[in-house]
Amino acid sequence: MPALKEVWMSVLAWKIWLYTGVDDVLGRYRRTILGPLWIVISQCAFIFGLYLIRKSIAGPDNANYLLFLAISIPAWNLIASFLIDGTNSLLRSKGYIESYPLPMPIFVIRTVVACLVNFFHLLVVFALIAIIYQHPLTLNALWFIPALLIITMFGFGACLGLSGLGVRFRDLSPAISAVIGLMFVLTPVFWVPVPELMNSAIVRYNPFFYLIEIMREPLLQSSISPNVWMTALLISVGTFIAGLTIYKMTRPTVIYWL
Amino acid sequence: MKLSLHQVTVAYPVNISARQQSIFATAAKAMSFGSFAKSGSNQTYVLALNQVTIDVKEGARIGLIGRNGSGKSTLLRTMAGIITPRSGKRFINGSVGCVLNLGSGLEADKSGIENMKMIARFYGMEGAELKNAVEDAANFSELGPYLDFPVRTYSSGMTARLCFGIATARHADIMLIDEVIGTGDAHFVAKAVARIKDICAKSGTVIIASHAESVLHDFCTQGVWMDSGTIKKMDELDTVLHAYNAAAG
Repeated sequence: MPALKEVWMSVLAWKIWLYTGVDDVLGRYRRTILGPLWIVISQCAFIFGLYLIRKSIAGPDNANYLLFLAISIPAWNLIASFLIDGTNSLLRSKGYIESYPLPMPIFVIRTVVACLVNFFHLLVVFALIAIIYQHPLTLNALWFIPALLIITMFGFGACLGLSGLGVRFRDLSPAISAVIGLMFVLTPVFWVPVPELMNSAIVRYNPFFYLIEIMREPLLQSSISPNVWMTALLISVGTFIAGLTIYKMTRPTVIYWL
Repeated sequence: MKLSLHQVTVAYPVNISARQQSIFATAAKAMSFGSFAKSGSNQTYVLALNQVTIDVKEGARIGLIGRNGSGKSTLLRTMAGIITPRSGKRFINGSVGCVLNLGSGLEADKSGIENMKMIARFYGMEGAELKNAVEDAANFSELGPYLDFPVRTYSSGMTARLCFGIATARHADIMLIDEVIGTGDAHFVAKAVARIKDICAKSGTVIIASHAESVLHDFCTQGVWMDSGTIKKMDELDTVLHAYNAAAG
């Protein structure tokens, strides 16, 4: 089956990837009493820790920084998990791939679904903080929907391309994890991008900044310049095309390297 | 229904050095035109199928025989579409059911019944068909209350019963079965044999790999002798078994 047709067949097999993707998230907490609530607890702890540090350095702050963190961290986690989990998506499904004649991208989409489910789960913390501090949500927040579509396209492309490469090259996954660790510090995720820094190279040439910005700003009621939207869209389309191309190249031999 | 392979070659890479699967070593080698990262990065391959051509007629009952590592399982997986040949063509027209790698892909922390449902989804079942297949497989497995227990608590025999039950719950035009009948106790083997007879009656074509001649005699009329990744002989089952046994001494 040609690789691109296989991708399309996988998209149509939505019942399999939706079930396995959601189940992946539930499975992580299957033998714990609190279950998926642990995701929310660990997210709260992380945000609270960062808030305390900021408060001790910059003095008392308002709710804006908490809200900023509550959306930035899940958005960053989503992008990071697309890249890290995407690299391991076929390796993790080795047992299925070797036993059932299913289109392989099903297991890539499964990873994308698991990342998205996890993301929405983490947004619970944002919702809680927004309710506590009575953060208004206007129609501007609807821009979050196209932002999510753009990010999903980026995620699908990244997972698809990295999945085949991750099987072929086993040091790709730790290498990506290392880069992600560096980019977490360089990207305005836990630090607020002040105007002086907006034109610096680490923000201007940082693709993660644009992807996070389009998800973050609609929920924080800030406006986004059309340039940011266009750049994010270009990054997503470029990643999607690159992902399809790499998948097509790696697909014929990927089963041998599993 | 049609299933054929034409000049199919399958070669597995054998990884000895970590460099062979390193993106950095590969990139360094490519950028230095092969002068850097030279040692340990050359890939070696094992030919599992070598230019195999086979045309399976509708209604054929084929028994695959051959020594361990002769290519029987690889042939079945290639026929199923799990393995993409490095060269050659696979042509298939009809639905494929396969009983390969029993137990692989099971989620250890999920119950038997949840795993059955998941596997049934992988076979494309849904709704009433899924429900009926899971019920049928549950009855076949005779696991009773254990079906609600996590699979990690199962013995290998129980796992085989569970997987075999669900893998054979759906009718397919072409059924591919790999060396599973010898798994489990005598009671399970008898039930598995009866179930495969039922599958054979319903399926157009059955291909079974087995070392047990009695099993092959039960289900097959044709034989294919695999040797070092090639088809050494394909003929009436008795003729092929006679040749194989004569060669084995």
